[in-house]
Amino acid sequence: MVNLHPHLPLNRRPLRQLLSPSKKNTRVHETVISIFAGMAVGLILRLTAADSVLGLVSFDYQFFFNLLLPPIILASGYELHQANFFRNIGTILTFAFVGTFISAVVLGIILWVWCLLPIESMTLSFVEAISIGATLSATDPVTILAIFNTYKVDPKLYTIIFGESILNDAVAIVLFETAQRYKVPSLADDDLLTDPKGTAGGSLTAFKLFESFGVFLLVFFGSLMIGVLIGIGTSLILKFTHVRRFPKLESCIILLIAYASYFFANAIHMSGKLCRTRLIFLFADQKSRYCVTTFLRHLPKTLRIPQHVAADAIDHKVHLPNPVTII
Amino acid sequence: MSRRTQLTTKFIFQILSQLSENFIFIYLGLSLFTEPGLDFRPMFILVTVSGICIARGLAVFPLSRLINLVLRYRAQRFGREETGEISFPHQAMLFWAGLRGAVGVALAAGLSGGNALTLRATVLIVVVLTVIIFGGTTARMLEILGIRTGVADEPRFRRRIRH
Repeated sequence: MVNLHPHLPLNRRPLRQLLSPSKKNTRVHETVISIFAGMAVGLILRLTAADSVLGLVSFDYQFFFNLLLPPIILASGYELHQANFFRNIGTILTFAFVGTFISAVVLGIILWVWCLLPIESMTLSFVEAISIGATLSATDPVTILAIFNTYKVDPKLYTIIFGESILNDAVAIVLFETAQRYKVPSLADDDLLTDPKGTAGGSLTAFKLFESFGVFLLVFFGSLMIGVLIGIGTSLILKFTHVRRFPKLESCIILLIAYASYFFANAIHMSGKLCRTRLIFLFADQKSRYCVTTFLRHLPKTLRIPQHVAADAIDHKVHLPNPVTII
Repeated sequence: MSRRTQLTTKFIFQILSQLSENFIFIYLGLSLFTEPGLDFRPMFILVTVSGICIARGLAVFPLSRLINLVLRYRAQRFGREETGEISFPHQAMLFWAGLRGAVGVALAAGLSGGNALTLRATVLIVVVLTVIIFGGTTARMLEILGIRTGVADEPRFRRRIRH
């Protein structure tokens, strides 16, 4: 499929073909081009512009979480093949939870050891190393989805990678936050390297670990519940009112509900928990949003069922994987 | 839900996500140069990139072996033929798909302390590098590993045509 010209060896394709926007033949993906475009503009700005312009392009990462990430997750949730996701749930969970943990710890240890070597002048505490490890072990839903969507990869592989990259952000963030929490007491020491956390407080460490783990689980299931409830609510509203006669209004409602569920979950957290763990919730919200979208995806199916089969639609709504098998 | 709404919603989500995707990546490239006060250390960055590969490998390959074991055991127990194991090309692709993204950069913005600027620069560079290296070669990898592409996975719309 990818190679439209089988008679041409892959590495001898003309350059024009490489740069052609045709989806099937793209060898360099648009995300890479986007980065290069950004780098070019950044370089120009760096060389020419004054500080005021540089200030203009700086960017609050809150926007990233609030504005840019939701549509991506929503869209991919909307597109996802439901049955595949639930069939591979064990694999996905293993990779997302255990895999991310392993990768974060391994990377953290590598970096820590490297900084102990005399080659590097920088001193890095163990906590910082683990934080970096956690930061860099969140694989990215955006890039992978963008690339895989273009090529329409084998659905099973796609689902595993998609599920992993969505869920492992949450793990990475929890790890990061946990690591950052240790940092506060150890910052008081002048020399961080001589006391790499191990001697500082063992019971505290274990306790914190369990605490954050518990918070994580709570958040995970809490947001799942929120998502399911909102999803059911939405589908009931859409079923028993006649909004479907006004497609424009209906589209708006769905879009707004999807976003509202996100901010709702956010708000609940804000009232209850520490400000610093906010990020965790943002990510757990992804799950709730994701859940809403899966419900929304099933709406058309569940609502069309009465037309085909005179069955009770609500039954099918409650069990998530059901509609797939029905249709 | 009317059919018009279904199509509209799908389309709106697609447009929005495309838009934010492009924005994120352009911004990543941009901030490489415009972020003030970043401190780049080539050796450290190099070590981090290789460390990422090692860590990803250590996570993916043993875990998929474990998963395969479990799947095989279950298949044996229930007397099924098909095990649905993760084949080697898929494992390699899982390894290859471990590129890091904007989430890491956003997290790194929360770092504090003496090394914060160095670490932030490292994370930024590493993210951009992995996206360019892994993302740029994903298509080639798919070909090399012989993974099926061009699979239409939209049963909903396919079915509707058949009705």
